[in-house]
Parts: sequence; C-alpha cells; structure tokens
Amino acid sequence: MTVIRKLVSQRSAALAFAVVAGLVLLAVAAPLITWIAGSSPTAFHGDAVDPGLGGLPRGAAGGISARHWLGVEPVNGRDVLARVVYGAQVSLLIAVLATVLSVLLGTALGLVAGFFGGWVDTVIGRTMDLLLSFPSLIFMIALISAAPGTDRRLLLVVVLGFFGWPYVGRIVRGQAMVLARGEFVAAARVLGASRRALLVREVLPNLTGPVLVVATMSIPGYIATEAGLSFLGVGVQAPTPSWGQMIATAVPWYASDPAYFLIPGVFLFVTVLAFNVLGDAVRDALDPRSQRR
Amino acid sequence: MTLLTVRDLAVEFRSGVRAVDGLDLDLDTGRVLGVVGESGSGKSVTSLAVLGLLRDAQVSGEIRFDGQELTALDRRALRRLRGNRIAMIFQDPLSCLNPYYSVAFQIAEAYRAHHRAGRKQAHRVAVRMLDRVGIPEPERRARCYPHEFSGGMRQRVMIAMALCLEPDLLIADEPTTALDVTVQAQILQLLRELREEAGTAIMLITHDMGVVAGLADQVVVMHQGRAVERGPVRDVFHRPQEPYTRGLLACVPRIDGPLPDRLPTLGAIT
Amino acid sequence: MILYLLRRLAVTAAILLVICAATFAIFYLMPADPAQGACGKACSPERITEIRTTLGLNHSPLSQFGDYLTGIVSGRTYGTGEHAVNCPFPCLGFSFQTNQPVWQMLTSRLPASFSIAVGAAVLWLAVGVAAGVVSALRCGSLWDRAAMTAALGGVSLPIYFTALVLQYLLVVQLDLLPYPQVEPLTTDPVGWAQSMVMPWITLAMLYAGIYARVTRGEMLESLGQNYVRTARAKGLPEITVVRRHALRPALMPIVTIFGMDLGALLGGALITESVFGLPGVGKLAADAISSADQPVILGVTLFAASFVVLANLLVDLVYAVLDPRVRAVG
Repeated sequence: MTVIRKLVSQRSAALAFAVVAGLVLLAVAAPLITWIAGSSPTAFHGDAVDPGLGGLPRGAAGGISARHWLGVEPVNGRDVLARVVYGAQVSLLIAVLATVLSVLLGTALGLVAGFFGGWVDTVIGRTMDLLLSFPSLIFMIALISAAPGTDRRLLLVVVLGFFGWPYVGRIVRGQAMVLARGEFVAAARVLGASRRALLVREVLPNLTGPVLVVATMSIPGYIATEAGLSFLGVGVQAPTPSWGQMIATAVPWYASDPAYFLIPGVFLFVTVLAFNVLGDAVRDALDPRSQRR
Repeated sequence: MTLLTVRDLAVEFRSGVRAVDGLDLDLDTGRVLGVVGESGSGKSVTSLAVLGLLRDAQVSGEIRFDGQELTALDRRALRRLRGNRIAMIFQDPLSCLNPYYSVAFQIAEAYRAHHRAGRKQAHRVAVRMLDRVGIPEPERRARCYPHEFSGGMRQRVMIAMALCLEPDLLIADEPTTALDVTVQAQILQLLRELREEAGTAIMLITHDMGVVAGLADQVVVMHQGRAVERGPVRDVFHRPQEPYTRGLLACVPRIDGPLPDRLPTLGAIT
Repeated sequence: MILYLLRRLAVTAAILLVICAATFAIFYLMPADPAQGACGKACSPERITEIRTTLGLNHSPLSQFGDYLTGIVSGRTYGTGEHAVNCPFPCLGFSFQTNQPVWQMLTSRLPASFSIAVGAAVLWLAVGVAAGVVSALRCGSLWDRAAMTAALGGVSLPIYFTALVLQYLLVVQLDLLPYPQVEPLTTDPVGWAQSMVMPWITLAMLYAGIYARVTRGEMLESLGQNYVRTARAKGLPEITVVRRHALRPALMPIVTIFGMDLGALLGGALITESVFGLPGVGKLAADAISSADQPVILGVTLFAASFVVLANLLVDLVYAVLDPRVRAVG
C-alpha cells in the first residue's frame, strides 16, 4: 500500500493512474456506455454516410452528432464511440492476459533456473537468450498468419506471452540467483526447510517487487504490439473492434476524414503513455537505486 | 612558509546537512598535515572543498593557497590549479581510474591538461612516472588497463598521475584504506620518499592514527565537522587532550602494548 | 580473440539454424496447402498433384527442410526432365504470386529499407543521444523535465499513428512534401530525400525517445563514477571530462541497443514501409502476408532474422574492441 501512496504523491503518476483507471472503467462499462449513447459497435448506419461522396460520413469531423458522439466510420457508418470503447476492452484484456501469462511463465522458469542452477539453468538461460535475439515481431506475424481460425484474441495472448516471458525470466533468474545464495535462505535450509518450501516461502515473496515492475512496464508494450499486429491485419479481426485495426481501415481516408484515424490514435497514444508513466513511477517507487534517474 | 590556510570553513549540503563547520587548517611548504577522524567527520568534504569539487553544496570561509584565495577564483583559474599545483589521490583506486583507457593515457592526460605537449612526449612522461613510483617494466605496463593491475599497483598509478605535474600540494584521501597491510606500508614509504625528494606538501586524510604517525608532522583531529584537537604529531599522540582523540588512539591496536579484550568503540567514549 | 570470434560465429550459425527450423515448422502448422496456393483458385486436381511433386511436398517434412537448407546453401532444381526449374544459390523458392525467385525480390527491396533505416538511425542517434546528455548534465532542470516528457511521448507514439499525422499535416494541410515514393538516390537525390523525410521522422521520434531515456540514465550513472571525480581533480576541462570520461562509458550500452535496432530495421521497417507505401523488405512482408504467399513470408522471416542475428554478432565484436575488459577475456 505504501507503493500506491508513493505513486499518488507524484503528480504525473497520479494523473497516469487516473487515466488508466478511467480507461479500465471505459472498457468494463462499454455495454453501459453504448446503451446510454444508443449505439452498437457492429450496427451499420447507411444513413449517416454520404454515398455521393464515396461513403464519407455526413457532417463535420467524421460525422460527430448527437446520435454518434465520436462520429461514424466511412462507408458502413458504424459508430466510432462504440467501437472505441469495445476496442479498449479488447486491447486491455489482451495486454493484461499476455502480461499475466508472461509473468507466470517467466517467474516459474526464471525461478527454477536461478535457484537450481546447473544444467536446468543452462537450458532455460539459453532458451531465453535465443528468444530475446529473435526478431519477434516478424515471427509473431508469421505464426499468427499461419494459424487457422478468425478469432485471434486467444492466439494473440499466447503469442505475446510466449515472446514476452524471457524479459521477466531474465530478471527473476538474476534475483533468484542472488537470493538463493542469501543468508536467510541458508538459514532456512539449515533449519531443515525443503526445497519447495524454500522457493515458495523464502525466495518468491522477495521477487514481488521486481516482477511488479516488469509487469507494469510490459503492459504498454503489449498494448502497442497488439495494436500494431491488428494494424497489419494479423491481429484482432473485424467485426471485433480494435484500435490498431480501426487505424488501419482509416488509412485510405486519412486525407478526407482525418477524425477517423485521430480518434482511435489518440486513445491508443494516451493509453500507452499513461501506462508508460505509471511503469516508470512504479519502478522509481520500488527500486530506490533508480530514484536519482 | 605557509602554503595552505583554511579559515572558518563551512560546508552545507543542499539537503541541509552541515558537513564542515568552522574549520581552520594550516599547512607549510613541504610538510605533512594529517587530518584524522571517523567517517562522516567531514575530512573528505574538506579536501573536495579545497579543490572546488563539491557539487550541490554551499561553501563559505577562506581557503588561501600560496597567497591566492581559492573561493574567489573563477572556474577556469581553479581548473588550472587542479592537478597542476594541487593534486589529489583517493581511496579505492580501481573505481577512480577509468576502465576504458590505458594507465599511461590517464597519466598523460593529466600532463597534457596543463602542458603544451604532444601525445608522444606526454606518454614518455607517463612511463617515467610509472618507473618512479616503482612499477616494474614501466614501458610494457604503460599500455595496460587498470583492471590488469593489482590494488597496490593501481594506487601507484594514481600517485604517478598526481605527481607528474610536480604539484606543491598533494591531497591524499585515505590512500591506503582499501589495500593489504604490506601494500599499505609500501605506499606510505613511497609517499614518504616523494615528499623528501620533491618537497611536496601533503594533506593526509585518514581515519587511521597509525598512518598519521608514520608520515605526518602536524595533525588535526576532526569530529562532526570541527577540529577538536591539533598540534605536532608527537604531542597529540603522547599527550592527547581530548577524550575523542584518546578514543581514536585507543582504536589502534598496538603491537607492543597489552592486548585489550576488545577494541573500544568511539560511541562509548564520546 | 580469434577463439572468441570463432565461438561467436558458431553460436550465430546455430541460432540461424534454429530460426530456420522454427520458421519452417510454423509453415507446417499452416492448414493451407502450398500447392493450392501456388496454383491459384481455379486449379485442376491433376495440376495440384503435379505441383506437389515439383515442390517436393510428398516428401517427409524433415527431408523437405533438408531440401530447403540445401537450396539456401547451394541452390536447387525443382522437378525433373523438361519441367525442371533451376533455382540458383541462394534459393528461397519462388513467389506464388509473381513466380519470381524470392531471393531476387528480397535484394531488389533492400535499397529502400536501407535508405529508411540508415537515415532514421542518423537522425535518432543525433537527437536522442544529444538530448539525453544535456538532460543528464542539467538533471532536474526545466529542460530535463521537458525533454524527458517529450521522450516518453515519443516512446508511446504508435508508428502508424505518427505516420498518418505527419502525412496529414505535411502533405495534405501544409503541402510541404509530395506523397512518399522512392526515387533512386543516384538519379534524383532531392526526390529521394523528400520521400524519405517522413519515414525518417516517424521512426526517429520513437527511437530518439528511447535513446534519450537510455542515454540520460547511463550518463547519470557514469557521471557519478569516481573516475569522473578523478578527471576533474586532474584539472581537465569540463568538456573533456564529460566527453571522454562520462560519455564514452555511457555509450557502451547504447552501442548494443543501436546494433539490435538497426539490424531489425534493415530487415524491413514493416509498419513504416506499409503506411508510406515504400517498396522495402517490410512492405514485401506485409503484402506477402495479405496474399498468403508462403515462400515469400518464409524468405522475409529468415532474411530479417539473419539481419538481427548478424547485428547481434557485430555488436559483440564491436563491444570486444571498445571495452578493454572484454577484450582481455576473449
């Protein structure tokens, strides 16, 4: 709880925290918001676009009106606000689940490698090195585009988590190596604690700080990567909305309907920025060494 | 002749800590002044203040070196003085030498900062200095990097670097602290020789009364940023006036004295 | 040193082999039949059987992988007799879409990717490192806070968003630049530079942010070192102290990330090239993905991976030259 108090005492971190909280609220309350606004992320509104102009939204700024608060998509006239809030749901969910997966994998494998050493460490360490030197973006694209099916949300989580765990694992391994040689672990060992008990009760609790830091700092990366993959057409597929995919469909319209790429773009930018600020703040709060930086 | 006079020196850090508070020091040409005290007594801060190397700190009082008021000098003039007329060596020579440059380069660099000299000439000076501080095979060792030297050899390099410009004053801040006992003795012997040959005045900063006894003429005992006792080494050692000084002296185990059950701690005395 | 070099080369070769195998394996997970892809939509079953034989799809996956590797190392021949198609070294197969050799497609796309990567790298190194150094020297000042806020913003900007905003502002609104289109440097240097400005700025905004943050952190670390104090005590001018004793050590980690970043970009700036429609390796990859052109996807993946792995090797070697402590160990 002291961490949260420390965070809130910094103005930028407090603001970022508020933005993140707001976004989570937006995502969770997406059905409620669309109900209030009277729109749906998938309904077409042919009347809101002008077929005479190639399907441009009627009205200024991408067709912003009382009915469509953030305008509509060109051609098919889907409500942008509804797609943005449902997109937030998709983005945050994928990023958080990918983080959970990479933290679980990274902690487990890093812990085993660092604590036991020997050949286990060699195998896991080399695997991490290999994955870290992989050109992961292009591999993710190849992997996802090769996979069957159209609902790629689960696949995205798995792929992001798979390429992300070595970042967690590397840190956990280092910490576990230090802790395994630490005096209190030696003391517990002398007292006759089993290896499992040592790991779970002595080493694991001491890893929460660093793991929390990597986890917070990796969320914006996952959000950005998911959006990037969706932008390239290998991520979340329509009709499920995603910010990256919205920006991709906005590319041909950037000159005539700039609001269409600006709205999801600003949401994406603000989200990633807020998480980055928060990540920095969490690191500063938990790692005294980095404070002077 | 008086070389360095410090009057009413006070150093206050931006954090509000007053590290030095009304300190007076006097050092004559060619003499050795020992400044002793436990860690945190303000002795290292004093040496950095003399060189104008303190950051985030408010320095007041007078620091007069060879007739010049150092606190009144601009950055340029102060820089010309550093290394050239006042040189400094520190404890932990490994971290004080840059790992990316050869030892000769780092010595030559000091020389070239104050002399118009080509690379080759400065390198020759560096090799000569390495020879003088007792590095074997100086020509070959000159091209080595700090990590290839032992602790004692590194401190010799630091001394070579400090003395290549023949300064009037050498400030030695805990020069022997991180070293083995035999190496400590060698370094002290080296400082003693240099002082006799070149007539360099030395301000010797240490917590170790034994080191002071071996080298210094005068001694100042510092405690919490103030000088609590001063005088010729012989007097201070044989007739310490202050309980704090007696405490410091009692912390030095004597080879010829009775073995105490345990070394006294300063907290128990002051 | 030679031993070290050989060991690093062996490791690099091993990683490339693993990447090769992994890529190949991914394509075996692919449900689509490569023969179907090669033949197109309207295709008779006989023709498909024929293609299967030519491409060697009847063999076991392992022997197909062997054939693929042989092709890369020494070229290979598809089919037999009068239908035989020779694919010279280094053979990455033929595109399903254009029937061109994949290797040729890749090399023809390299100049554009190089132009984008190198230009952006120069820009972000200059801006990022300079901003980081100044921030570290004036740590806590207004400049520092402004620069670090800007850097965090740059880090958080999605590339395609930056690209669209720039394009909208500079091309549509202000009419300062033509629509990006690669002109060869040799015949039309002005057109070339004009077409590159936006991709450079787009990439540089992201990377300059990262580099400014890293440089600042490293500089603060090295400025606090005892050898910097020694350098000042020697009476070196402050500029020499900063450049020689603080910046030089701080640049070491930057060399590492720079090698990796540049390597990754040389293998194709996927998003940037797609948005600006520049015919680089990244655009080739994006197009191949949308048309499910398997040999091209496989080829690009390997190609880009090789750049990253080779950059890694190069970084290690440069590091060994720059850091006397590593040099001694090797």
